[in-house]
Amino acid sequence: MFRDALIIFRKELKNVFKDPRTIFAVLILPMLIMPIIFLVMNTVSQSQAETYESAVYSLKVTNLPDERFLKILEGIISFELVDEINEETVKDLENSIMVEFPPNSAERIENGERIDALVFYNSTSRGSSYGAQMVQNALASYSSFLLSEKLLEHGLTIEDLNPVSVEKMDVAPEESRGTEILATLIPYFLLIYIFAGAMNIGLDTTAGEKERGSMPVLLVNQVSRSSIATGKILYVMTIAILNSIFTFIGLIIAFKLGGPAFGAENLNLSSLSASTFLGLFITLLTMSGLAAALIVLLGSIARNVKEGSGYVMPIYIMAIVLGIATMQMESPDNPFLYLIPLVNSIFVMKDIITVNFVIARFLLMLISNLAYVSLFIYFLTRVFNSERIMDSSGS
Amino acid sequence: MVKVERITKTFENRRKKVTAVDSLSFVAEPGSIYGLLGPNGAGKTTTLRIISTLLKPDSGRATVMGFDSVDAPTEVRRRIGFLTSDMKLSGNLTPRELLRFYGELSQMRESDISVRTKSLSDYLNMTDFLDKRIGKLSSGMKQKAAIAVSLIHDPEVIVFDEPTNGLDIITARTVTEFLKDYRKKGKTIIISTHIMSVAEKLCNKVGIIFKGKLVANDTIEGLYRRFDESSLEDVFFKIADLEGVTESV
Ligand SMILES: Nc1ncnc2c1ncn2[C@@H]1O[C@H](COP(=O)(O)OP(=O)(O)OP(=O)(O)O)[C@@H](O)[C@H]1O
Ligand SMILES: [Mg+2]
Repeated sequence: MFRDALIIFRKELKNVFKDPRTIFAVLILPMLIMPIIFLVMNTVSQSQAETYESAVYSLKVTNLPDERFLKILEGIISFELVDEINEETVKDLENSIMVEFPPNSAERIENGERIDALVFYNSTSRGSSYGAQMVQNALASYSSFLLSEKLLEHGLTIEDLNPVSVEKMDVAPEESRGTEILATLIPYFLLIYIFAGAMNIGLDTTAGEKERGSMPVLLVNQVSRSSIATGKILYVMTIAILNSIFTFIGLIIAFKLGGPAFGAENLNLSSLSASTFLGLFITLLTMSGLAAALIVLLGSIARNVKEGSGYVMPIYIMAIVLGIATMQMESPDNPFLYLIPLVNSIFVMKDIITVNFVIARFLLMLISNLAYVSLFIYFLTRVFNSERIMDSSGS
Repeated sequence: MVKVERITKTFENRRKKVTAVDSLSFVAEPGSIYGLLGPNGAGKTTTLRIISTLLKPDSGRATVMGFDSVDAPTEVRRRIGFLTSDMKLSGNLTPRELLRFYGELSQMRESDISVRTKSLSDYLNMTDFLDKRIGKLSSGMKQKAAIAVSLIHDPEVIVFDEPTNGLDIITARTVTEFLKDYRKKGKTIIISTHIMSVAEKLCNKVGIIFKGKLVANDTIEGLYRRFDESSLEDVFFKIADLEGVTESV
């Protein structure tokens, strides 16, 4: 009986991979998509930063207390001093900033008074914002420069004001350090791509075959209905797994390409050891089995692909919401949560990635997911035995 | 041998009930071709689907070589080659690959599949497109491939719904000659058609069906005699008059 399921599985795979578009959509595209997104984000943020750094800012300074402030600022950005701008025109000009010191500021500093400096900038202009930030930095440096000057008069240095210095030491096991971002992103992407991969193929091999009239050709064959059910689920599951594995590879490539945009310097890719991969793969298997079985079941009940999409869409959206909702969560202790489909897999994957593997949770997930898949196969076999599978009126 | 005993099938959609097949009975013998004749919507396809286990009758029963289509569907499927015009092959595989697939599912040996593929493709003139993708074939080629697929396991009973529909006269002739040959081999053949000339040339016995009811069931000669006519078309209209359905034909 399982032999027949494998025959159907093999035939479907052969059929789908004869189409170069499928190979591109299932294998190549998911592998490219994350690296491309990362690269684009990186280049955009880098080139923008470069633009702001090399820009020449128009700066108006009123009541300048001290030439040394401008010297400090010169070390940070290029600017030219202008007179014609005011509060109003800062708004309309690119890269213009206005700094206003109080009157007599030089004397007041001399007398040891506190002065307030006002920086006028336009927060909706990225250039102006960047420049204002740099002016602020220069002001801070100027301020500590004044402070150290004053301290020196009393024979002190800035360090003397910080008698206790702090250095943080991370005591988490080496292999689990820097895995938080991975634990946030990987389960989400795997979940999404399992559904994305299973959806089209799963509906095509059920409702699509009804539409094309090839379903009854298979149904009049002597092959058992449970073999048809199992073979189709295996096939959809395989595509879903391939799709998510190649997305995963793409994600890793993206991280390797260096994603400062994602704070990737703090990533610990070496935490992805062989046992981590094995654990993730097993979880992936049960999760994709579940998604495939559900989608094949809904596609078989539907009379055409359009109706099938209507059934599957809400579940897909629910999966996305679930993925986002659990992104920042840590795996909870409540064992019942590990009986809920999809939720259980997400948390177990987080456990595995952060090297906090809990065997009880893993087993709960494994057993409950297998139970769900068996249940779906049972219902699917019933659908294949009923006349519902012949119901293929067009949309 | 196929026995259909008082089968009734009702479809219910949106408060409307359609009795597609109404207490219909007939027998198709080995070594003969039985033709179901009737206007559009008479219930021909529904009857053939019940025989081939795709639909279940509300009452009555259909047996194929002694196996009940509801109680022993797998045994029936093993012995039947079934094709309707809305059953189509599709996808990227070639006819040869599909024949192999269905042969494997029918528990045939690898070598038998090859031999059978060769003889079917020779017989149906399929050698030119045996290794082309199904999706790229013309509809007539697809239909030939579908016929070959339905016969890969050399079934004892062949049930074809309007087998020559949509085929050019050369291809249609190939199919009818093929069916005659199969009759000679002692197979039980049932076809449906609304083309009188096909029935006249091919069928040993015909059942005329109106609105789900079998109103005549006899040999062609028998029908000519009984209605004192010399063509099936005239017989058909005479029956239609008697049944009072001429307007709806
Ligand atoms: N799945 C279905 N659901 C609802 N009604 C159906 C279904 N299949 C057939 N019918 C109805 O049953 C009746 C008989 O249909 P059937 O297809 O058996 O006719 P037919 O004799 O094959 O006609 P044709 O010559 O047009 O193929 C028709 O009134 C049809 O509308
Ligand atoms: Mg019909």
